[in-house]
Amino acid sequence: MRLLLATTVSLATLGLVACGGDDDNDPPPPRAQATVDYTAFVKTQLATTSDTTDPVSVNNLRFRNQTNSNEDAYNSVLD
Amino acid sequence: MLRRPVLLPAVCTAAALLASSTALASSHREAPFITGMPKVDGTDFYMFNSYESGRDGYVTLIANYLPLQDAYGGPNYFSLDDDAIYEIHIDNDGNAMEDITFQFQFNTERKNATVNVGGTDVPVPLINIGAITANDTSAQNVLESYTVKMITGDRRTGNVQSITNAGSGEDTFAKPVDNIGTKSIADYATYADNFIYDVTLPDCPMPGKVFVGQRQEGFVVNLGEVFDLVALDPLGARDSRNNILDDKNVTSLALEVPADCLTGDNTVVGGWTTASVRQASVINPAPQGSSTTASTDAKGPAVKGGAYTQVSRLGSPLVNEVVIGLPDKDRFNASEPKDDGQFATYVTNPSLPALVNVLFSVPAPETPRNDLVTVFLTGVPGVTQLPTVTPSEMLRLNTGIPATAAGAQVDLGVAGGDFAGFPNGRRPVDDVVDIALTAAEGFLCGADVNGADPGGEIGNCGTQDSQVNGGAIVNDGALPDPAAYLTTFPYLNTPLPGADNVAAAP
Repeated sequence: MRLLLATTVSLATLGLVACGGDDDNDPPPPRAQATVDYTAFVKTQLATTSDTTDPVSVNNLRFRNQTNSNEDAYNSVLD
Repeated sequence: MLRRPVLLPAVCTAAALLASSTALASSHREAPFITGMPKVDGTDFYMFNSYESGRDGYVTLIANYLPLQDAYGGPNYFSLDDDAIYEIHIDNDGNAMEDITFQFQFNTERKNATVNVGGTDVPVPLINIGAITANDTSAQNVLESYTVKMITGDRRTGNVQSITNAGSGEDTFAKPVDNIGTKSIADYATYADNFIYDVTLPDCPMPGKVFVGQRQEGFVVNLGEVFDLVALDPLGARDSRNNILDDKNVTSLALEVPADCLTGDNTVVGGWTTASVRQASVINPAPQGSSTTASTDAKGPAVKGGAYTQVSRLGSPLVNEVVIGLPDKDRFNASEPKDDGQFATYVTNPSLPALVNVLFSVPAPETPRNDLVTVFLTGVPGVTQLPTVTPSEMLRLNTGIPATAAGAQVDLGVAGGDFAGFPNGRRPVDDVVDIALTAAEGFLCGADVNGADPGGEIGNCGTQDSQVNGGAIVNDGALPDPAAYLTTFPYLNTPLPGADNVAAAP
């Protein structure tokens, strides 16, 4: 389970990196909407906390909420 | 330089743009999203040549946050956000990007004081359980401190150095507790003075000063009636109504910096303040208390992470309040000056004069409003314009124009012939509402602050190259009281107490 979660987060991270800012801090150009699991997205952000990076652009992401009814979805970041 | 008995010339333009509105509360709760985050809601930004005696050559920067504080708002009062960063940015070359950033970050310590109840130590619900002095905080249950970083270059990737206490060398400063009341803090003015620090600034030969703490709200506006479709006489006496904010407090982040440590190739600097929070947040359904402060081993009511994401921006007053349209207010708060081209229409074709026309049948100046573009986006040539001209919204100050002594300041600033005031920077006493309204209605159309001398051209309003509406002073009826401000750093007045118990005590 832990491996599955780690894998999920890593994949999400990879996907999100492509949506992140470029070197000159400008937002990325418009592109086709990518589908991202919202919970994984949030966990990725928490796991990659940094004082020196730019925020991830979300305008071209389509969030998928697979865990709306799962009250334990965020337990891993709250424990 | 530019001294002329002119009345409302150039700089007012800045105000003008702002003026494109009807209502003004500088930037208090001005955008939909920020109303849910008051701790990071920037309300006013001041930048002026210091006028305290003996402080020639210094610039004072004040960023106010957390609007509309009622002094009695206990028991938690008005602490700042430990998970946010509060920043003051300086552009000294005109590329609309920060060259220097002063970054404030706060830490709240909760001592979890207890009282013994029937043999059991029980945590108390209050932030103090006795009187507080600057030298005795033993009765204080919650203490705030902060650091200030000076970042050269990009705010996130530039060179980061600490501002330190000039005496002790420490890089952490204490923030005074809010003005709970006279029983908790008998003499708040004296108490707060202990939290003004002389500081050493990186790469700067002269020391500066820093203070962060609660102050009396310095912004002056007849807010309720202004927002109620301007339910007042905008051409009436300037003191005909009340300043509805005179019973509020605010939290100030104040710095005094040698001008030479801010400027680049000329004496003009542009400044603005921002606040940023972590991009992601997860609400904890079972928050855990902390023995000292928020820490990784005790999750509080929310877990936050990711990159710092800007949610508040403020340079010149009233811009996001009354110039930027509702659909773009949140975008403006998240934006940077270098990208301000996206908001240009709000300046060239402001909505405020059109609204005033509807409400009062006062003709709106023609568009495009090049007068507003000059003061608001480019600076006035020869006065507040940086070496490189990149149209962008920020407060611009010519540090080479001497400060006007406190007792001689004109609250209409440049419009009143006082070139040390708004829109050449902004001082606490400057009546930016009246200046902005007046400029919006065409006071600056075609003006030239420098007369026959080079520079100073403000720009026309469409085909109109002279004052529109007879140069009327449009106002909200609320007039600043010079006695309501300090004449020394941090200039904004001692905050109002939550209770005044000493006088009532038997």
